Amino acid sequence: MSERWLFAALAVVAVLGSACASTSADATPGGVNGGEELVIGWIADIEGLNPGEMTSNEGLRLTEQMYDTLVRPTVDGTSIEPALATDWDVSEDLSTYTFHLRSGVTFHDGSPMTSADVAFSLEQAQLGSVWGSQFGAIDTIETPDDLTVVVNTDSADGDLVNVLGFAPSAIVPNDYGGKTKEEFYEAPIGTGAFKLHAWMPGDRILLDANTDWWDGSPLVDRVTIRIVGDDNARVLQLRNGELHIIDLLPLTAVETLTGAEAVFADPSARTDFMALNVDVSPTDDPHLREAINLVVDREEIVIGALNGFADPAYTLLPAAFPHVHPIATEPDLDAARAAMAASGYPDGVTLDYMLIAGDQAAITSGEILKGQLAQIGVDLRLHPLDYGAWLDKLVARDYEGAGVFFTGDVPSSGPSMQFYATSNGLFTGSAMAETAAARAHYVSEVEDPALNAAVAEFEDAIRSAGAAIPLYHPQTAYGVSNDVTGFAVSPFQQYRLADVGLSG
Amino acid sequence: MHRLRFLPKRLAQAIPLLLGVLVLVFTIRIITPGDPATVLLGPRATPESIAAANAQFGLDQPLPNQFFAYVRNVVSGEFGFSLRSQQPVAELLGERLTVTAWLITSGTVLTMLVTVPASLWAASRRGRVADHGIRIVSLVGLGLPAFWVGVQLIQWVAIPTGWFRIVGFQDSFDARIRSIILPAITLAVSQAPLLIRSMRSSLGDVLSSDYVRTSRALGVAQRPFIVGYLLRNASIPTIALLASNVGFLLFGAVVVESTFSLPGLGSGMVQAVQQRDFLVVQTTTLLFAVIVLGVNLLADVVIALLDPRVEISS
Repeated sequence: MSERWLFAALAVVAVLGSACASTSADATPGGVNGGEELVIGWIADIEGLNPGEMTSNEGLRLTEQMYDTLVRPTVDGTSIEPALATDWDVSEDLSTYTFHLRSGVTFHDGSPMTSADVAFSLEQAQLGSVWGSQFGAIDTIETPDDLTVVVNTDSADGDLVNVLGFAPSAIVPNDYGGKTKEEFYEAPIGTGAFKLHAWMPGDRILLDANTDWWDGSPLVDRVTIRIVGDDNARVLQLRNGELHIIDLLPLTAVETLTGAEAVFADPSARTDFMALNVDVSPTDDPHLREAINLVVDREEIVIGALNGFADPAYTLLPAAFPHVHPIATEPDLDAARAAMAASGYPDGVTLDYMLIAGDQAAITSGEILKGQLAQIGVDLRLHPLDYGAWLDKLVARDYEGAGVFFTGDVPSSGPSMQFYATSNGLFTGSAMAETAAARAHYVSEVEDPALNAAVAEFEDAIRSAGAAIPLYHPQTAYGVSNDVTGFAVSPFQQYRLADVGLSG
Repeated sequence: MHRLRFLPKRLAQAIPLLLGVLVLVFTIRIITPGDPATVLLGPRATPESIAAANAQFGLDQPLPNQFFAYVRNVVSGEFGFSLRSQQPVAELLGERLTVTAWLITSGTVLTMLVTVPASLWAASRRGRVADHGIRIVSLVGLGLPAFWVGVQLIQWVAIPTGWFRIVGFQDSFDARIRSIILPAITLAVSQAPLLIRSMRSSLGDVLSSDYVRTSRALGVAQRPFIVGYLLRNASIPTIALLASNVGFLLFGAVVVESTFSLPGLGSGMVQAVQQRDFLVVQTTTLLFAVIVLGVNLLADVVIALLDPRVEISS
């Protein structure tokens, strides 16, 4: 008997021991000093705390709460407004930007923010492994005084101010406050509305309000971001009142929400498109690509795959970007058959099409495309792949056709045009020279008619190559509890948690 | 303690087994498509930054070097850093182990609380309505997927009553209890049917044995007899089954943790696989292997202590 009692006692001690074990966040359950706590459910965790290395929406959203940039997108995402810079002057040749910094701004540790911090941060942004190329136009940075920063570009760049509103150009202390980069990002500080309290990877992120924020104290004392990967679980937890806001609300759940409403990032800044690799057979045949372009029925895909929660895409750049003017086109089966007859495959061809296995809308749209393309003798073979395998093949351009998407991040077409160039034509290998010329025109202009013309030039080049076929701009929805006030999201899926309060 | 003389040899045998697990996991990582650096940095990363990340993770080294470096680190207690969060893997898994330990312990306790009385009741009424009822219910239970049970419990119990937390693992003791009850029930629903069927069968054999019939004829008091002899003898195959089932229990934990957003080893493993966070995947798998081996060893010890007739070969 004594041995069994020993086992029982050990089991009890183990359970009680783990019960009493507490994490660093346990010290303040339910908020700071019992203050208001906003709880958000995200589908995925961040990948770190370095703004220059954020690749996910979640990482960028966290960056926007913790750090500030010189300028920032407006709440409705249509333009740029002052942030750490109160105003700026641009030279006539669009190659010198002089930013006047807001005085009295401090980092989370109380140290003042100066032009040296801005210069250091922009230099680090240029070195970023993910977004560095977006800041490639910056040549030199001068700091004539503590509150003035002069940014010189190596050529005319009318788009730079938009790019500087993007989260990876976040301002951090000069020389990381005397720490190494690794040490700094273990407990980073910025000038943003919220300070990092704790990050428990894969579980939650705790943010405390920065009551000294230059734009006013946030309305809640703490934000807890919980990582809830399962769509169904996120919706149920919103219904149970344990989450106030959830991201990526499944569109099938929009009609069934109770005690909460759906808020859309409208218009969509995402384009889902069919990528055709122009350097492999059979998609190297321009007539085949033309035939596919002509037969695609976007309306059918929007209804069939997305239950209408999307807009048909007639341009690669979403209409959320300024200067984009889509013109709807109808599928033309006769013209598609004629193009097919002129191709090297008049009797039909098999085309391998890879998709991300977890993206149900993409899978269903692939099935609809399969039916549409069968009308011209193209046998579309769908290959749903795990994200890692899909990405490997896409980046290596080891594919014939692929379901791909991209999202915009700032209210400008410039960065997406540049991404087209740096990603080898969104991994299609097409229209590189023509789109580069269009981008050069775009960044050297500031007047709307010229910018409209540059975007049209870009879209014409894409359309002529026929290798990146826009399909739809899907809507992104958030589930927001009725207790929540002030939650607004831009087309670029940006939101300011400082403006969000709780009424309950 | 001569009954436990198999222990040292068993422990020694565990070493090549764990090494085999390491080889297997390493091989799976190599043949799985999806370069960790590319997945980490995303489609916008330049080839140069992907190459630099691969060099940082040691993935630019020849495969044998990578493997031996990992084994060397594991032996010296160094499990490296998560590619994603840059935090020590041991620290990450330590926090998650607490949650999984809670889930599996409470799920197993609940399973036994259901299994023992149900099996006793069914075995003592063999062929009668109660026996048939329990067999049918356990058969239905075997066919219920854990994720479905979990969602139903949230939908029909947690939300209407508001008694339970269904997001994450809470901080205080009472909140932890509220967080763990429904996941434990879900785990028990998937485990209990198999054990009930096993224990009912064992109890049936024991009840029809000569010594039971004799003890009853002699008028031995029933309660101490049931606990001291009947359950003790009938529990041996059930303990063996429970131990051999621990792998399925851990798999069940993966599903249950994902359904209830519990930050345990299972849900962490799913995330790590998706993110190609290979050091976390390798170390979690190794930990799972240690748990499976440990539990089986513990079961052997318990069986040896319960039944002096049992000779466990080493």
